[in-house]
Amino acid sequence: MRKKIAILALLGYFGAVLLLVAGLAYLWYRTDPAPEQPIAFPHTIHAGTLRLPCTFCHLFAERSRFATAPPMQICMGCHRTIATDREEIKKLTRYYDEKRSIEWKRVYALPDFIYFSHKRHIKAGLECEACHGDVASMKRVRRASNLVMGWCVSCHRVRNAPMDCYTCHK
Amino acid sequence: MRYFLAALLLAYLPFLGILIGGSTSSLVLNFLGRENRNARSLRLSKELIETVAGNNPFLFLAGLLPFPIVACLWQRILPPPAPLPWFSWILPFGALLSGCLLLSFYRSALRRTTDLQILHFRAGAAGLLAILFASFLLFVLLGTLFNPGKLQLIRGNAVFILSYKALAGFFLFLALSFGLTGGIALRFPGRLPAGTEKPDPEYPGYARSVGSSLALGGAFAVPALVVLDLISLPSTALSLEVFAAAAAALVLALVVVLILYPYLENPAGRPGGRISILYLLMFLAFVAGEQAAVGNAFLGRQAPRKPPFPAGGPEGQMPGPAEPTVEKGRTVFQDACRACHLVESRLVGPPLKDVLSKYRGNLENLKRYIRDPAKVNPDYPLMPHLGLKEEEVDAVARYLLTSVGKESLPEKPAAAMPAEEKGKAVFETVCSSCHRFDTRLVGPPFNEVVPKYAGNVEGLKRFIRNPVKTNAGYPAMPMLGLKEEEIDAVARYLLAKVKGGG
Repeated sequence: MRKKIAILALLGYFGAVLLLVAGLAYLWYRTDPAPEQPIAFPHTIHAGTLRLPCTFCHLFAERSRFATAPPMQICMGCHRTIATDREEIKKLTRYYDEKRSIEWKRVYALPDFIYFSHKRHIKAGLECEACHGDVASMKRVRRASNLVMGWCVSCHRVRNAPMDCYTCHK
Repeated sequence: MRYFLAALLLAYLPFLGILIGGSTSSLVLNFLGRENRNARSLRLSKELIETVAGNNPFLFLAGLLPFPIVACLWQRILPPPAPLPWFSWILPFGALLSGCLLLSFYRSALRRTTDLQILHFRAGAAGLLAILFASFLLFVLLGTLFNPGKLQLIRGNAVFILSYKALAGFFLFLALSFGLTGGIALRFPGRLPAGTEKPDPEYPGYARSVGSSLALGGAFAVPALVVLDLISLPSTALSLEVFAAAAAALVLALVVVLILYPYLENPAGRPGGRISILYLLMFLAFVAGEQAAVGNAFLGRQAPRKPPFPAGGPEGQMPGPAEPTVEKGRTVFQDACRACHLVESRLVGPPLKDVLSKYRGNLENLKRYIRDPAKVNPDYPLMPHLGLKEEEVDAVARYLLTSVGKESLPEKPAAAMPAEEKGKAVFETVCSSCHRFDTRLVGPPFNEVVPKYAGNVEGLKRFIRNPVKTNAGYPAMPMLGLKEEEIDAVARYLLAKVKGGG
């Protein structure tokens, strides 16, 4: 009897921990750092080979709080003529002709209660790569920073940026 | 390079682990043995430290050699500037070295007699503490690798070198070390006692209980520490491989417990070898998991920007016999620049006559700009990187400074040029960037839109002078800023060219 209980406790302990690990894995999977996008847009070509500046497409990164996904006119400005025979470009043209917007999966998302402005950070002299990683080498964009508060604060502290709570929690 | 580091760590960590586990248990057993006058624990203490150190004290030090290599690799794999100055490695290395020396002193004393003087015991304890400290520092340094975003900040604020990950990794390492030591201790009972000591019937049982309690304790601690380790990793470092490694470590720990559980009740057979191998496998899973996590964390951070690709540039240009550079410059200009730049007027980019005047007599600056354009005027979009080869950049820059505007380019047509030729020239330099006659390009095909103006030259001229957006399927046509006679010429030319035109 005692032996049975001991074995059960043993299995329970290991089983619980295994479940915990599985739960963590599921949680991680839910917040996939590199989601599959509706169109396989290669940053490797646009930002890598062509070295288009980020703001060529992310029009408002320097000018507003949000970097924004580019309007489709930007894509079609070039892709009306360039590489029109490719599958993904055909997909893009189809979206455009049907006047549907592309539902890009968000890679970086902050909760509502955080005030964050791209404009401020670019003005302070940060490169986009400092937070977003070397996007030019990513075939599919992958989250390079986890955007937790400690991550923000450590950088703010070192660069003598404002440390007031109100800076981000408005 | 990272894989080499992983292999080194794989060899190094178990060594360090045995060193720590063996000497700790040896010291504790020695202390207990002297307090309780227990010869068995004294003997086990001696055997443990002998296993750790081998029979040759130099073997002890040989294990230290990987440390400078680890340090060197760590400095190298990080993007420059390396976050720590090289001399900061002296502290952990010095601690490790002195720890090992003190421990070997302790060991040689123990070899002579099991009844130690207090000095030797203290030397051993100090050595152990030094080694613990050094390995903790090692884990602190490794811990920084999981959060590459912080690496640049370390020089600004040394606090950032600490992380929970380092702590969790260190404790997991300790648990694995003691487990491994337990596994090794379990192998002793079958061994013949060294020297001429009289056989002690109680000794095997004693060694067994010490070994199995160490191994069991390690196995029970591993799951909790694995979870801690996972929680303390930043989400960017996680991936399926990391979870798989954690799960593998858990299963291995479970196997250890399942082997030891019946063994406790009925000590038969010699599980020591199996247990040691299981713990070594756990070390393997641990290092593999850490390695995968570091790889994930560095994904998209490590690769330096590649040099610009030669893309889109015209290839196989044979330099002409006369003035090869000018010839080549003209070709590059036609292929790369003309789509967006005119000499006299704004198109996508600014008119060349305005911007080029800044570079008169300053060829190098112009080349630098073409190589790596920057946004200057907020009214225009940023010029993209063109990916020209170095000699193309040179040729086109020379061409721009010497020939553009001076050559008889159609923007400055000779007065004598007949109207039709002038229209054709304007079409070729201006319109053809976006329009073809029969197919759509950026704008609609001329064969579709120009016939609307059949017999209405003035209407077409008005549109060219001041374009309005008429078709939602196309972007608006820009104002071209042509001269009146150019507009007239090109309008007539187009109407004459299209089918069904005037």
